[in-house]
Amino acid sequence: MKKAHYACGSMEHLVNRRRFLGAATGATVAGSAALGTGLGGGGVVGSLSALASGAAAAEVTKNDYRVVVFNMHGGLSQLESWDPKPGAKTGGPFRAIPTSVPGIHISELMPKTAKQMHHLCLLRGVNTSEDDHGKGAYMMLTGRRQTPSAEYPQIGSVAAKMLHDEQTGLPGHIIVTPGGGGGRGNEAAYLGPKYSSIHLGGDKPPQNSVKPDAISAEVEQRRHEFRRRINEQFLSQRRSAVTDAYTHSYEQALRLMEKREVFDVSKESQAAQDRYGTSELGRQCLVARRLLENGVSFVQVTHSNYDTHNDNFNFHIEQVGEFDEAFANFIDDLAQRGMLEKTLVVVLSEFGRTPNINLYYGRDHWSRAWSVVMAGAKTIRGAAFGKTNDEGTEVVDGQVDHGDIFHTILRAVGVDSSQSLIVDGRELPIADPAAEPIWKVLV
Amino acid sequence: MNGANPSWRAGLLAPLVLFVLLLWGPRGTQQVFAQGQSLTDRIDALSRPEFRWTQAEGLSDVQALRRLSLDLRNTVPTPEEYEAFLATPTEGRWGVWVERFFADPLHQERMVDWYDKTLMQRRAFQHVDRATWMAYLRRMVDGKMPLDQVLRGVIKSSWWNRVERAEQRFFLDRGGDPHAIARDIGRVFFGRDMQCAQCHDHPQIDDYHQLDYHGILAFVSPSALVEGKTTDDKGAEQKLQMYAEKAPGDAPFESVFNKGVSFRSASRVPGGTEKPEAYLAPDQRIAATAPEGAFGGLPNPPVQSRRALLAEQLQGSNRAFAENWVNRIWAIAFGRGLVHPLDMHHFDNPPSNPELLAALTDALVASNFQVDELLKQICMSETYRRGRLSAFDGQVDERSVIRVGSPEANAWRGEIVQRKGALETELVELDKQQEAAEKAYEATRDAWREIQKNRVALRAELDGAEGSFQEAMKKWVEGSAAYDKALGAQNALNQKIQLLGEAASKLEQAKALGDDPELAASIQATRAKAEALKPQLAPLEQATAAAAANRDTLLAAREAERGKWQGIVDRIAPVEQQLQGADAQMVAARAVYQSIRKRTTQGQQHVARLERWLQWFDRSTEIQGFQSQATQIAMQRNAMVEGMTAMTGEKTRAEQAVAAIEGSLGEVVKQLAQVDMIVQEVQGQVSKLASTKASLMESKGLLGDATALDAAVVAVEAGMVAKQGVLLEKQAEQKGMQGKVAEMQSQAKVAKEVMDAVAAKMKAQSDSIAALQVAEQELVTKQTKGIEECALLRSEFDEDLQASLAIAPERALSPEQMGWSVLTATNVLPSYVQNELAELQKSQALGDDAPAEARLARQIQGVRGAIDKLQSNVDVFSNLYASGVGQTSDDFFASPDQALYVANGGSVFGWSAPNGNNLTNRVVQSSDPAQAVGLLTLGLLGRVPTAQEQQMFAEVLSKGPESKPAMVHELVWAILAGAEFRLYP
Repeated sequence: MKKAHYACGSMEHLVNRRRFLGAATGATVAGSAALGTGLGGGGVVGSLSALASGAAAAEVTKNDYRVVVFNMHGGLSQLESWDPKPGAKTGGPFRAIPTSVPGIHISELMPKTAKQMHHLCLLRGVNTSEDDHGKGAYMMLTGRRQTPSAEYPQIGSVAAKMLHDEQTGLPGHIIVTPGGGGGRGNEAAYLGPKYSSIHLGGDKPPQNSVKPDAISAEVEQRRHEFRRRINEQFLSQRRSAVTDAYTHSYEQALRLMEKREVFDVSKESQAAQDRYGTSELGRQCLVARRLLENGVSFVQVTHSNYDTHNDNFNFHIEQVGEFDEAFANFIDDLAQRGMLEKTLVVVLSEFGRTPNINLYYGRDHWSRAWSVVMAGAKTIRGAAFGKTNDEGTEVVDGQVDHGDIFHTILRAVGVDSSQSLIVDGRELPIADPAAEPIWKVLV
Repeated sequence: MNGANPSWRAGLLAPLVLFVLLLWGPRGTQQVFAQGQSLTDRIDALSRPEFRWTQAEGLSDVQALRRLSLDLRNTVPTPEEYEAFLATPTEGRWGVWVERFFADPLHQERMVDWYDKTLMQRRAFQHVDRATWMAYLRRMVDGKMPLDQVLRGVIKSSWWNRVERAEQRFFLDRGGDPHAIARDIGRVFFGRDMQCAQCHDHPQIDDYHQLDYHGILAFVSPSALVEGKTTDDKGAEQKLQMYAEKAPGDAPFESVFNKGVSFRSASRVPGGTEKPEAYLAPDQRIAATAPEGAFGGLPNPPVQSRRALLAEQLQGSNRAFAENWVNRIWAIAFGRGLVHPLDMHHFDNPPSNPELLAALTDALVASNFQVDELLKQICMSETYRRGRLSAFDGQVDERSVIRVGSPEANAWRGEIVQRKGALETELVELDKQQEAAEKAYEATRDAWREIQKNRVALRAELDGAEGSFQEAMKKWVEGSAAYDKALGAQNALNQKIQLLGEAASKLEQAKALGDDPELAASIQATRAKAEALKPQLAPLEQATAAAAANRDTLLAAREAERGKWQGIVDRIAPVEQQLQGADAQMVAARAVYQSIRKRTTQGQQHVARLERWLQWFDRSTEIQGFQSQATQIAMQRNAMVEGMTAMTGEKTRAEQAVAAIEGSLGEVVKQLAQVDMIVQEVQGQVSKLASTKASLMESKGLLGDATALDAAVVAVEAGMVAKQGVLLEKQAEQKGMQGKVAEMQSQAKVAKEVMDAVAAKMKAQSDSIAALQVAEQELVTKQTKGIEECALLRSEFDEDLQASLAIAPERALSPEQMGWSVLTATNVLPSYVQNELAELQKSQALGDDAPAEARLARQIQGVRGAIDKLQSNVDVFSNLYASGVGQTSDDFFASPDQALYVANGGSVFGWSAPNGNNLTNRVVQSSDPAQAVGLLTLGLLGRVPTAQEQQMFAEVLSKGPESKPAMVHELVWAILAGAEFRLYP
């Protein structure tokens, strides 16, 4: 009795991982040595490179969609943002204001965002049942509940794997975070460190991306020329996907250095800089826009910190105000540039905040009824999906969870979220098979 | 499309060649080693390639030294070591250097790194700090602690003992989570990643059952993180997390796929039977006293320890355990396992060389799990020193090349077909056996499940009884406490009365010294108090008696519950016994099934391998066919193209003829038109004369004298006659010319017909040429596709050849190897070691006459001091080049941030600068260019320079003395940043 083997159509299925490595880099792979049958001597390089990249192209349909995530660290209050309940005893002091979409009201703390509502899709029925910061963040970013015996890649790694075109010379997965050290994160799990994030400290470029002053331009050019010649010499005898990937990584590095300006917001026009303002989030948004424009597939920006157990309202006035300005600008800018068609924007937290207002005028962790927002790509525009009750304590319609949201993000950028990858003989579904996309918010 | 003939197609027209296909004869399954043969010889005998042409050329010894150094010391040889190696007499040289590297303190560090990565998979230091952990591993390695003993220690890890707390890191830094730990015991200790078998039998791997997972889980489910209290070195209170084992208990589990079928699993290791445990009453499970040296806050250890039970089974007698570790040791030397991936031992992923795995396993067990002994035997083998290039790579000499279609090639193909046929026949038989074995296994499994049902039911009952028992125990404990309290109250009162009595007696003695009325009053009052208390005594005594009675009743109740509990246990006993029997049968039947299925898979894989060769062979032949067809067509097409040239001339001539005729026709027509005009003109004149004559005749009747008129008429008539003559003449001319035109027109028609015929012929020809081009293009496409397929097949062979040890696996340096190698090649590590030793010598001089052990210890101290100081530099490489936490191996990947670090991080370029006695400086200082070039490639890559390198480096070295240091510096950096340095030879 033999078990039927799962066919998943993933690239690893047909092209094994080691062989694929080189192809995935987009390098011209192989050469006469790899063919090695003496079939035509050195003449077959062209056809072989076509083979390697052709096989890859057939299996991975990379598209030009991008994803940007606003991580509202600490837990944004849905009541002071996307799902206000003015007048209810849980509502707090703020009013709700009309938006550019008749019938949808959001908190008065977001007047600028209100004008962009026709681009947005509110998910007001989020219930994730997890009130722990770490676990909540894990769930929102991986689309799964954390289990000790398995690790899952974060959305950024999945997006980089599925969407990124290495020819851009830029990394596919970037997390912009204040004080980020410039190193590589560890979010890729079984996808491999290649898809882990590069952390940018605010609007600073990645680590080691500038030539040290001590090395003159002449020396720089010469040493890399030496390196290339030495490699050529070696590769004429021994060439494989591994050697190609390795030598290619240096050329990628050089291209990244050339493209270093992408990370430098001071290269933007003064008007653009003024528009995004001087707030940290504003600068992050501007970096994000530049990165997306230059072909980075996934950017996560961070706005910190919403964990307002005390003095929730004053805090939200300040913090949401800053967000409103940066976010509304960002959406407007993307829309005007026509980028919103291909860019999915997601605003998420690890959870929302309690409808109940505590003794310190704070709100605590609340994951049973909160909101996530999406905009652009294949999501519907100007919509509010899901509903909470009058006091905002429970979801009464359109309930979704982290798993559904993860599927939806992938679908919204044209990725079949029901597919699996085969890694080391293990079949790994890219999203939780128990959840599914929120079809109603997808076009 | 005429241009579609680039050089590569010309290349294809070159003779299609294949490499030697000489058979070495099949490797039989019979024992191929003689008695008394060394393990090294066995390794070589067992890893002989199936066909000679698949075997790689041996590696040069210096290149092999690079491999050896990386495997045994985690770093490349220093330039000086390469030189010393070359200076060693070749006879026995390899053995000398194998010994030397094993004796190097760096080897101990390498083994420490191996233990670390294998056990912890790059997990963060949370509960145990790095220094403590490293010190612990170094102790294990220094003491040559046998591997199995180390592993038993990790599992048992005496948790009440702070001294050996590092032993617990396997558990502590996995957060003490039972599932994370169960998964990793499966992976690390038994080479089985059964992650997906937690909630159901593994969906993709038939060999991993839920029962296997829960069998492992049962070993650790009673353990958890517990906070213990102790004191630190300074006597301050310290709280430490310990992974403590509590009283055992097992949980039932149910498959999420098969609802309602529930199991209970006692502990079992892969391939083993359940380990029966005594059913101990709840009050007998925990040791009465804490172990010596235990510190506060921790439970006493259980009487039956599951962890001890697991540890006991980590022995050579457990084949799954021993094979897993042999496979991991093999991977030290080969970068991949005989079973690969390392944590995927199952019957559909059999070892690439089962006989070899068996021989190595026997040897490891026989050596009492001395890793170094096994590793040394492996490193001594020829197999270990195999190169990367197989005959397929086109690098072998002329003799090995034959043509597809040649008798040798056909003989080879025939051989493969025959071998494949034989295997397929065997497989038919094996399939039958497998089916039977599976049925037999399923029968034993069903039988076991039936009995298991009884046990599950009885255990549920026992759980109920245990609840009542626990309740009765609790009540009895409360009753005992109540009795103690009552007795306490009674005793307190008694004591009070007694004290009052004693006080009164003392007062009496005082009174005897002198009568004092106040004293007398006191005595009376004291006695009265005592008397007043006495009546209270009786109720207390009664209460005590009642409490005693209650306690006894509760004790009896407890014992009754114990009796009931025991009753069920007694009923379970025979079921357990039955179950043990059934279990043994099931495990045995499963082992038979597993072994047959493994053989089937091996056979299938072998057939698939041969099939790939055949396919490659046939595709190559086909490609050759396409090629000759394409050549023929090309020739045909060329002939036709030439024919076209001839036809073009013909066509031109016809066109010219038509043009000529039409030209003259045009002339004649023009002339005719003129004649026509003249005829018309003359006709006009004649008719004019006629009308003149007519008007003259009319006038004649009006005039009297018509003589003048008659004369005029005559003149007119004469004119008319003359004109008519002219007219006739011209009309004749006209007619003649009309005939000529008609004739020429028919000539032109003929000429045009000729021209059209030539054009049609040419069109047909050009259509044929186009059709030939299409056909040729099709062939080229087919050929290209064929070449692609061949290349794919070829890269699959490469996998086959690596797996079957015919060629060396393609390996990249691990992150740590990369870091240490850069530090070694640039002389940073060696000079740090020298500094450490000098410092040590300064603080505590060690003479040359010191005992060898002392000198070795000093050496180790020096190396470790240097390593600890440089570790943070290597950590940078680990962060950039390593797979994530929890991954079983460091899969190669290349990313720009690695390259950015090497290029711009400053360190690598800095270390490459000329400095002291490092290689860069030696090259700069060298006055002999040839020697300098040799030093560069030998010192950094362990080989002689190629002709191209000679030329390129010589060019650089010939620069003037001002620019030479900078250029050599750049060159050294470029070599370190190159692909060759990153890879194993």
